[in-house]
Amino acid sequence: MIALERDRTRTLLAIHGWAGVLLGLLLYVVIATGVVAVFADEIGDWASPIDPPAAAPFPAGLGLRIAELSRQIDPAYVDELNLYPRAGGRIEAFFHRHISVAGDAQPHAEGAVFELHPRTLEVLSRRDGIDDEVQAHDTSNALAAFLVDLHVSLHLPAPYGYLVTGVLGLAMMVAAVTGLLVHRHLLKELFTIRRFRDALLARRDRHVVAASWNLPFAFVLAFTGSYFSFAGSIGIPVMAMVAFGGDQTALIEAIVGTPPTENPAPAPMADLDGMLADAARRAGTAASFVSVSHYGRADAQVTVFTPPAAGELISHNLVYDGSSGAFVREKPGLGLVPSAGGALAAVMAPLHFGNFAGLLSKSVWFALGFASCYVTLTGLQLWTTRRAESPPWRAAARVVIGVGYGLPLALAATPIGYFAGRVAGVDRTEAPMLLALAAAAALTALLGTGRVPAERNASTLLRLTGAVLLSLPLLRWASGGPGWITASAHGLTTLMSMDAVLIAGAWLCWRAGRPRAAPTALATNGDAAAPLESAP
Amino acid sequence: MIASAALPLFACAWSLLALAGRALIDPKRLRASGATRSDRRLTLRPIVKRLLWTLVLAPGLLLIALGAWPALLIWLGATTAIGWGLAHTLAPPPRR
Repeated sequence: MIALERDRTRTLLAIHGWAGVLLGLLLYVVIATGVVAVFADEIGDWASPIDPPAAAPFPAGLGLRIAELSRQIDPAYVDELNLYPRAGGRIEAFFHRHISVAGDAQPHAEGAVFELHPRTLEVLSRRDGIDDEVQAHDTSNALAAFLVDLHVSLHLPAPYGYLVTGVLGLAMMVAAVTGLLVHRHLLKELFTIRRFRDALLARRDRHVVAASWNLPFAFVLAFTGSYFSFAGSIGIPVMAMVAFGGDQTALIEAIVGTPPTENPAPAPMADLDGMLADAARRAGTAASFVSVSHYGRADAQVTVFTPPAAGELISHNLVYDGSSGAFVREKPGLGLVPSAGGALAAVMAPLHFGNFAGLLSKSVWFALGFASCYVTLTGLQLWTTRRAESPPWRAAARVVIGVGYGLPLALAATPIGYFAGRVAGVDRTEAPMLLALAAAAALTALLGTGRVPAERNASTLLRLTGAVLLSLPLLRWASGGPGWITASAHGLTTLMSMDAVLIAGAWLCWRAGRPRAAPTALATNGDAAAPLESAP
Repeated sequence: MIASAALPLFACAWSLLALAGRALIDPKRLRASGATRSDRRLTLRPIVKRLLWTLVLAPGLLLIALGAWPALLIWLGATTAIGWGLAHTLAPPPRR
């Protein structure tokens, strides 16, 4: 054992504790943004609705429309084509080719994106350029994309953002496993929250009970989250290095399959609508994404991706010959033939996103994510408040309250930036959204620096969050969105549901923001930590 | 949608009732919340505890037998959330 001086030990303990708090706070940010990201599609539909709403993700006549559009762009871009639904059901058609950008090891896509109305197929907007640029100017989907990026990479540049969130996922997994091992006796106290005079002790019991119930899914969400963070940034390069001698192309061919033999002869595309209808028949549900390689060539290949059908967990990838329209095969998500590893990889997405059974599964995943947030935040509060007799830890407790209750406020404020940017005609709405987020963070920091007790700050922040949530339906309408009468008449159910959820959320925040007694540092006598007698 | 949602919803409702029953007679919870003297003496025989937990988990076993994997995941997630909610709802108020 290394002998340390008392002061040095104290310093190291402080570093250890502060590092844990910092990591915990970042983890809280990732989990809280993940809770919001569960409803990313609905948030996009709410912020940028199409009136009347889309009847199907890819309507009849799309194939002909795509053929028309392919004649309007630089022929160099008519190579690859991606089709996917966006906010409000808009259809994005991205004609592109792959290019290398100096100083960037990753290949990029350069081309033209058309945003189409999901009913009339008229072009709503067109953006030309490299993938990052065209995505940055995607106004209709910007709010949902901003929130998802915050969860996925904390808006840090690739691959650092993925690495940070991946490490945080691993930390959460370690916390879940070690928590189970250390506190497994607490599984016998799943319903036990004791009566204490001290609010901190009562809060500790609530933390333990929430953590015990949330344990299995905390592990699942952390494991799958780490998988997604590391798969692209580390997993594929490492696998390529180990199994394929560094040849990423060989690795991708082993996973995705060898592309068909090159045949650059021009050939008209087969009926895309027919392929989509066939895919819907085979998969039992409509397509959610279409990828065409070598559009307009004899070796064109169309891959139709569908979400899981009712009663299924795994999505389908159906491959068609682009020039004949003939069905070729159903491709596993990973590898060339069905395998246990492929099935395991395929369930990662539904397990993490909870999007396998519509709003029902998403609502459950939202609740589970909320529970994880609660456990993380109350854990951090307990850790810092127990040490609040020391001034640095008192400051840490204030920081935890600031981040814990300021983050929901900042997330609620983000749509304000989005709507303001849209009204102002800003081309890239990321800047006003960041501004709104930063303004909420600054307000939180300002509140935190005052002499007001941290608990009262938490109440204030909750009430502010409630007020901001309440303002969002009004702002959405004021910025040109449909009102409730129009929404009701035209069947914009997602929009009305989201407004209702925001109003309910506002009421809950306002109610939760009622001033409460401040917890004190844990007493070392009396009712502190008295264990219950063993189970009868 | 309604048909596919019915199975997990039914499973969750069943487990909610079983969990509520388990929570309401949980001796540790009753002791911790300062229940009456007769409640404090209440203990559960192991067979009763096992029976109650079997009732809670029965829908999951049924869903596995049916191969209804999405419904199983929804049930698993919802049951843990319901359990947490029950523990909080039945928690005693702090002493004044």
